[in-house]
Amino acid sequence: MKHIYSILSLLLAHYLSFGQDTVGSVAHKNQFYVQTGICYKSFLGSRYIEPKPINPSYYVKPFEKHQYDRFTKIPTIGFNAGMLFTHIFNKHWGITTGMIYFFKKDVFENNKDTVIKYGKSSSMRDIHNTLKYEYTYHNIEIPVMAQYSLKKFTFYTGCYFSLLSYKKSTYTYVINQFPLNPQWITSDKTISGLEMPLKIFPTIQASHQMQINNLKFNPYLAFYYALKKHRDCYIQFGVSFLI
Amino acid sequence: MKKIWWLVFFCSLLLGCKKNPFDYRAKYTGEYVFSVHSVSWNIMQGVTLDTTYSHNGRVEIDSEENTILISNSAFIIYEDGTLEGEECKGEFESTKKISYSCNSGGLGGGSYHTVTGEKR
Repeated sequence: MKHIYSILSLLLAHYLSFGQDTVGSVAHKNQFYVQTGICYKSFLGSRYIEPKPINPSYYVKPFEKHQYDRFTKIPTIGFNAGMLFTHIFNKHWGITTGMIYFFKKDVFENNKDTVIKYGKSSSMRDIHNTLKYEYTYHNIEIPVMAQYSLKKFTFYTGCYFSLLSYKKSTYTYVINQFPLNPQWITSDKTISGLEMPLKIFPTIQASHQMQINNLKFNPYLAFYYALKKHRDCYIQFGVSFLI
Repeated sequence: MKKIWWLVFFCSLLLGCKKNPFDYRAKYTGEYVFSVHSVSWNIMQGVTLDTTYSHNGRVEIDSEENTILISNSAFIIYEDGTLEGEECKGEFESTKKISYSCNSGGLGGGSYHTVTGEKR
């Protein structure tokens, strides 16, 4: 995993150094953008997570593996802002990279009756009795995209690599205070910390070049897909300003 | 050119980290001060021992996936900090605070330990 980070960083370094050497060239042109936007997170397929049968001969910590069974994925709103660097090879083709701050949320909700029915009747709060998972991510992401320009439109395809994340996890538990005389209450716990997950979000984007007086800006529409089991997808709208 | 050196510096920081930053268990590891309340009893001999003490210990990542070593005892650790060990159960209340309890024994005798720990 560490090697992937090194390779990505060296690739980025290569592009940055390549760009510095060719500034001012007619054939190769470098452009910097400041980008900001909001995104709506939804899902491909059903939002309800069907429980899958647990193979009794294959013990792999079933509660953890199936911790989201019977939960519903909740759509969320996110935000991003950052800097993009584009190296243009010719009239049509170019490559874009940069560094983007991305605020994202993952929310999984269940209902109390289901948790009481299928969770463990434990007086201790734990993952088996979770009513709601809420994850907040403050990510640093690096896009690497090929771009194709056609008149005033530019189309992008590539990936966003999520390299660094400050993750805050809030767990809402359903707890039975008195096992002999059940009284269910809810309780929260928050765990936060810096993590370095390598998440990859394939993306396609389209932008339109506009200009008002001296201000050049490109409204854009983007679609991301998370390469993970919950099939998250993001629709993003924003503006990038040429600097 | 300066940008390249910053990236090389950033990479070497990552590769040089003592804690593996990719592991969700890493945030819990470190040196802790544990307070232990221990009660043990033996009905045959009519003896009950009730004692409290504290000691320094360490929380480390185990070689097994999803397990953690607390003072050399292995516990399964779930994503939310919940702990499961042999006859033990507990949790990390935060990345700096841990509590768990262990019960053992049968009809003639037994013991339980309640342990709380705070990161030094």
